[in-house]
Amino acid sequence: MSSEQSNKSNAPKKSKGLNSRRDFMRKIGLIGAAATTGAVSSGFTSSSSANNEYVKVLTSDNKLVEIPKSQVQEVKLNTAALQSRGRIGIPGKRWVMVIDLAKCRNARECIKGCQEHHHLHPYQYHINTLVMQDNPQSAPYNMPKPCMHCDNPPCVSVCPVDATFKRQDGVVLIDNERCIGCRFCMAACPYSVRVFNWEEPFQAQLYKEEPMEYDVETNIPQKKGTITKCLFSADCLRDGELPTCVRACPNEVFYFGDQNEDAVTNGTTRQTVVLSELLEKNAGYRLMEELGTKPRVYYLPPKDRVFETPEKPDNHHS
Amino acid sequence: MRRYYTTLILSVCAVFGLSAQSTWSVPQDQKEKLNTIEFTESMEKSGADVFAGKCKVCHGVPGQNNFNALLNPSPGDPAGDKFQKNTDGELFYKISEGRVTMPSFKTALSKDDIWNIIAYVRSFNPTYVQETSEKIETNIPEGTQLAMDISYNTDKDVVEVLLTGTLNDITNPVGGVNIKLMAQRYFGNLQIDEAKSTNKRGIATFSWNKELPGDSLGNIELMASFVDSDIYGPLSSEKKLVIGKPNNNPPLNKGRAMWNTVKKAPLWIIIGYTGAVLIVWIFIFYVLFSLKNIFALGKESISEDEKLI
Repeated sequence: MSSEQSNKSNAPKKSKGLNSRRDFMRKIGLIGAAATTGAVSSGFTSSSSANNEYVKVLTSDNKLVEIPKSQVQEVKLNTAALQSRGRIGIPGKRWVMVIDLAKCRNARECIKGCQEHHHLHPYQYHINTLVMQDNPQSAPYNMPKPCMHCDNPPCVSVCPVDATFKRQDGVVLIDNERCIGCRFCMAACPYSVRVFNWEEPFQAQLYKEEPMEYDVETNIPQKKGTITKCLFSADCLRDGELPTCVRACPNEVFYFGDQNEDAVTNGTTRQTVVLSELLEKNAGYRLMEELGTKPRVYYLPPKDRVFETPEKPDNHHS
Repeated sequence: MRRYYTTLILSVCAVFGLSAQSTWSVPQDQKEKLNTIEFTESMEKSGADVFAGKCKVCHGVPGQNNFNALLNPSPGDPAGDKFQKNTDGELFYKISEGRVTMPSFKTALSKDDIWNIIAYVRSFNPTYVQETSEKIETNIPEGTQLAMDISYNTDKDVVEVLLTGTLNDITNPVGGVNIKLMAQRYFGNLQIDEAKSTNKRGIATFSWNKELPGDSLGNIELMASFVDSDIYGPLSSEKKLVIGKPNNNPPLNKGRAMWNTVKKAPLWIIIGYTGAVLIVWIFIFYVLFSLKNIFALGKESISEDEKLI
């Protein structure tokens, strides 16, 4: 029964925050228009009639208007609005990432960008680059490993409180407000991409100084005793921007895009290519295909290795 | 012996590799390319911003020799001699095309951005004197109003871009101009076919892949623009055409799966499951009730004549 209730409270409500923001923007537009027309009819320009201070505001339809400073209220989405927005996701999209292993030179810029974006400790990784060596004869390569955002996510199946969930656009997120810290999902994930907040968050001081609303699309503020994980920078996707790691890479490793559009964009060169062609021509593969988790992250094989074998194999036995 | 040969081959390869890396040949016409305006302080400043975002990771801060020396070929310090010996055109070509570990920035950065970076890099060279180029002559008379129109030719399955120029109220097709066609995608534009030159009738023809997905109705937003925008101006034309493959993929959390919440369960499972649980509980209570009845019956006193024994 309780689970049903929780589902109800969790159902995507009409996001009040969004509406109120739109209303506010509309109001600003009206006030701005009224202020300017008023100024014109009374023969004053807006700057000379400035008994009280005016501020410039950009309306939702991209008009620059001025309104009295006393009328300005800061609008922030509350946690509930952010949560319901985060649960719904972006309709009509199926995010997909392609990682070209041949290009990775372990610059670790993706990790830096990510840790900064999500306020992580230096030892916490939403994305990590692993050094891989398949056998003693072959040269090693670097493998960036984010969350695979599986279409059949084992972590979501095991969550007892519906804290972690899959959205319609394919992103798997975690709601730290619901998470009870049981770590079932960490045990279930075959890719070991989930991270537990054992300690007070890295930016705990900042949270104390400037309390902020919890955003499920960034996992900020981080919470001690809960799980945090790669989010494909869901907040950036909403703004039409590539994820942080994709943008940060200096070596053309990451492609990101929408499978429904059959196009992915390289984060470094910003070149857009056809996804199906890229995977077909370069033998794209997914990690641990045999598990049936259907990851949304594809890898291109590491041809032309750039690093030498650390220790040449001993040839005594051959 | 074998090891000796391997070493020999490797060292030969290394020498050839090095010599190949030390020369980065730039086409002659690109080499002589110059900016049309003189570098200003504001250009240097915005160039510095772009440099910090895109170049600093490998090239370090100019003048401090803190580039990433592990990379091969070495990125080098942009303030160093080797860099500054390049002509402006060479720098422009190398930034926009890239090579091996150096990515191509022709889509990531605008032409102005690249010129700004060059302005910034040149600011570290006190001996540098900038040359600027004259405005490039074209075969189109000055004052001509150019216009582009995108259409789809259903007979040939190609997209056609018609370029026309209007001068003194007379409109004529314009030939011999390179045009590129892009399809709008969420994070950037996808180039369709290669850049094509307009023919005598002012038409550039682009082959169309019918498999390219559009929105749910098959709409695709197309954009045509000049390849040489610094000659012909920034004119571009946009048009929405219904030529894409309609895309009606369901949301990824729509289907039933183990990980989906109870909301996605069909009614018969919910009723069946609840019914089964109820039946089991009813049965348990029935047994308990019966046991209670038997116990109560055992407590009742029996009259003498009812006793059988």
